[in-house]
Amino acid sequence: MRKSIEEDDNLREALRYSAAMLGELRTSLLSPQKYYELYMMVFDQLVNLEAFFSEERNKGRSFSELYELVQHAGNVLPRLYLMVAVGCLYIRSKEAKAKEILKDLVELCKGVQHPTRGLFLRSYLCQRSKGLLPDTGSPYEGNGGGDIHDAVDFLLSNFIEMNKLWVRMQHQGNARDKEKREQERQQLQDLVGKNLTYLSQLDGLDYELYAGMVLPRVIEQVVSCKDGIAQQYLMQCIIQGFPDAFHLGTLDVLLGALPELQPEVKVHAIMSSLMDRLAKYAESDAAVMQRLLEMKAFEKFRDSIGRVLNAQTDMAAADKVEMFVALMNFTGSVLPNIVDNVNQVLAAAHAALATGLSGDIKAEKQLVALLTIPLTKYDVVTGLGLTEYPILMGLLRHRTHKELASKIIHAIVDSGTRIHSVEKVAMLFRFISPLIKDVEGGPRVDDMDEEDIEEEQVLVARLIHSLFHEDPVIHHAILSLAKSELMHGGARRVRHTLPALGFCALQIVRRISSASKASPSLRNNAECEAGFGAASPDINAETTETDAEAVNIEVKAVDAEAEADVTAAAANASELTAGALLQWVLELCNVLAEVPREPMMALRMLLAAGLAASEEARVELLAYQFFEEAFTLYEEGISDQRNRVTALHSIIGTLNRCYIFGSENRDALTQNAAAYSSRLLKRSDQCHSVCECSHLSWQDDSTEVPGVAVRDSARVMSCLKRALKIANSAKQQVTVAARAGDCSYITLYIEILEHYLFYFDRSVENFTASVLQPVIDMVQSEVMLSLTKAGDSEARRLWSKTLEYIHQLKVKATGDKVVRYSALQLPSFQQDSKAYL
Amino acid sequence: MLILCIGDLHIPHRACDLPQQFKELLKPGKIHSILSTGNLCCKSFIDYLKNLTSDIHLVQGDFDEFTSPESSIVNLGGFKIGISHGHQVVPWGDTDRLGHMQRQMDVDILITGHTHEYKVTTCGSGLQINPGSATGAYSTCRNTVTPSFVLLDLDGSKATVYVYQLVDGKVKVEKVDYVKPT
Repeated sequence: MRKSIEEDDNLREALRYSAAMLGELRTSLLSPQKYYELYMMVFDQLVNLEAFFSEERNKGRSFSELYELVQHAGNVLPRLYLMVAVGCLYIRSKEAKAKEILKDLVELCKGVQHPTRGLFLRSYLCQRSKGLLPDTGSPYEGNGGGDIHDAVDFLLSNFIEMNKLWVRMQHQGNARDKEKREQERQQLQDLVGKNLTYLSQLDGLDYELYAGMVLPRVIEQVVSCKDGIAQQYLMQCIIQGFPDAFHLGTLDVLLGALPELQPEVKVHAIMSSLMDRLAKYAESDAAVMQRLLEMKAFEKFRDSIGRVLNAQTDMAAADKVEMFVALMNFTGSVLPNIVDNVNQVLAAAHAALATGLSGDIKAEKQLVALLTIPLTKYDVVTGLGLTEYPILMGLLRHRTHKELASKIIHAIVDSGTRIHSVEKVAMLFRFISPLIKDVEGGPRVDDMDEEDIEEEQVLVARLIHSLFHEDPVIHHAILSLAKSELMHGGARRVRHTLPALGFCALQIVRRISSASKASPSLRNNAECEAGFGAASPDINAETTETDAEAVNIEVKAVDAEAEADVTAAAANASELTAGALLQWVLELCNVLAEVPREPMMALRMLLAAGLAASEEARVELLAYQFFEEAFTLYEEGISDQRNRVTALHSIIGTLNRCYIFGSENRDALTQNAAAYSSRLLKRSDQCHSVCECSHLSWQDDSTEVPGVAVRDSARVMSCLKRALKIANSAKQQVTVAARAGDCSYITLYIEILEHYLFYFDRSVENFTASVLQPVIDMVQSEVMLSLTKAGDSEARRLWSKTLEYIHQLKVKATGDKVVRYSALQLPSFQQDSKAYL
Repeated sequence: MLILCIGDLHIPHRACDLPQQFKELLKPGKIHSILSTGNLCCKSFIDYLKNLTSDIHLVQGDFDEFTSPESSIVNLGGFKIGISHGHQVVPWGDTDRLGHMQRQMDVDILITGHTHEYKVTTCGSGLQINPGSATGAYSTCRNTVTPSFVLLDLDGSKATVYVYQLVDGKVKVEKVDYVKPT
């Protein structure tokens, strides 16, 4: 053919050959893919032909002649191709009216009813006629050439015919090849879609025309063809191809079509596309948001989803959730202020998933995506208002549920958000229920690994610090709620979280106490209680200096109750006293004490609360109760020696800081501490502890309340004397056992000396140089003695350093210290001096 | 040589987390060692510290949820440094009593905590440092606690103590110099 064009310039020949070439397209043997390749080859050649035709025309032959000529081709298909080629040129030359030619062509193409061939033919028509349509503002418009309506008409007709052909492909051939056919159909889908694309590109296509003519006819075709593949593809074409502004207006039509579609159509994908497009559109333009709000787009979508769910009862769970995810994104972008919408979406999702996820991993992933959206789009406190949220969380597998709960806690803790209301806290605990307690579908806490429990509970404990309210009453209510929720978790869990609760409560105690210090009327309350406490309870305390007898403390239960009554009476209905709160903490400590193998934490809490009761709430009786419980716990609950030593030190250290106790209570506690100290197992521990007890009888000045510090030098002296006795026994033990090199008792002596020095330096009564000097001399002689034994040098090193220190004190002494220090005679001792050896 | 002295965070019992402003300052690679005074209290915070450097020395605080030694002595940068939590010393925070501990351990610098109060003093010829509470955790001894930690810069016989405190949301730095007596 080309030869005849180029060389011979022979029209007739050209036509003959071109017809022959086009005849190749008449085959039924090729698969669509192959046919397409053939088609493309032919297409290229036709371009040459068209050029030739143009030349011919320049030579004088009119297009109408050519148009006539090509109709003589023998077979339908070649004839039509040639007609399309010429026809388009005809229009382009403006010799003919666009409208007429186009109408002609689109009708004539009906002559080819074979699906594949027809599709490609019409595709050729569609392609070649692009730009030649009587669109508004195009050169082919008017003068009988038609207008936008005709252009639209043309494209619609072509589209409808192509769709029919395309659908018919489904039913060709036998049932066995169905899958192959469907694949082939999908390869051809863009041919059909092109029509819609060109439609959308028409300048003259305004909203009225679209809504009035185009969309109804397209939808009608889509629905009536009853073909799943076509419907799926074409609906997406419509949504993606036409402007979002159009979709706003025709939303009802689009949504109305959805229930009518075939069951195999993935409606959720179509809805999601539509919602996502409108959401994006709204994000770019506030006026759009307003319109969407006015036309109740959210409600429409929600109802449409409902209708679709009703129509397609066996939709996969993952697909259902996907629709809700799209709806959630939609409302989040478009109507972010209407939080209730989010809740509605969750409720609807829950209703749709009434039968649960039944192990569908994809569905679960979608559900997690759905539940994560509110966390990202809204702050956590708002999120806590979504009542449907925890119910939906419950559908997840246990591990996923826990992960989501952790995420929520992290969102609160990492952002420093505070939860202020009791209702929100209650909701929060529902949200994180799998972390708080055993739930269905999850492991029981008894089977869990200690490390896993700790990891989870540490996170929960951190969360407790985010629960806060300025008003102590409300804050306490929040903590009480938290406690009752946490208690469901069992001992292994609460041991990690109760301390956090306790300390939060102590911080409230501090707030109440400092408020009452500032306001006198409240202070009277506190004083009342303190006064009541000072009308001392009946305490029996028996202590002896030897370590044999048991020690009893009896506090009349009556008094404790009476104090509680006072506290209750003193507290208004809406007011919370520090005392009442401390009672709450006491109960907490008792719970902690019940946790097996963990008495130390309970002890520490008791001591911390006791100190708070003493120094901040200034409630003597309650403070006493805390220490009493601490001693009881020490006696009955702690058996390990190391723990006992540490516990006793803690008690002594805390007691040293308490200034509230009257002399009777103080004596009882002090003597208890001293007695327990003497009864420790190792002599060195006894000595150390007894020395520390001395500080219970001599306190540093209180920064809060001047003049209440205990200053009982006689007691101090007797304590240290007792310590000396213990050190002596230690020395005796070594001698008797003939452990020549053991000089550890010397370190005890040095320690005792340091205590003497402590009181000497503070000018405590009776601690004069004449008391200190013998001790110094004694240690010096012991050290010299030990030199001959060539034993442990540790004691000697320490002595050297201590002497150096005392010497420095002497040198730096000012005022009246100068006199006292000068009375001391310090031996010289250099640890590394060879003179002694 | 930079040494981080930090402790008394009380996570999760009394505090939620290390302040963000401090986290931004503490980056891996710059710190040689970490000396912790204890009461962290949870194990996961140890992991955070391990991220900063591998040379970590922990001592037992009275609320710690893990076990570590009561006290520890390390040799760093020519200084002998002792660490202990401090709840063992009665009265709490007393300089003379801490001095006794220092003499017993025979260390140039003693680092303790427990009082949640930043303090640098000398006792005799030794230096005593208390880095305070890094989270500003509730303390039974003090009404208000300022979050703080200490960076110790050891150079020959000179030690510079940098204290970082969080005041009104801003980090303030002070420094104290100490020279080891010969």
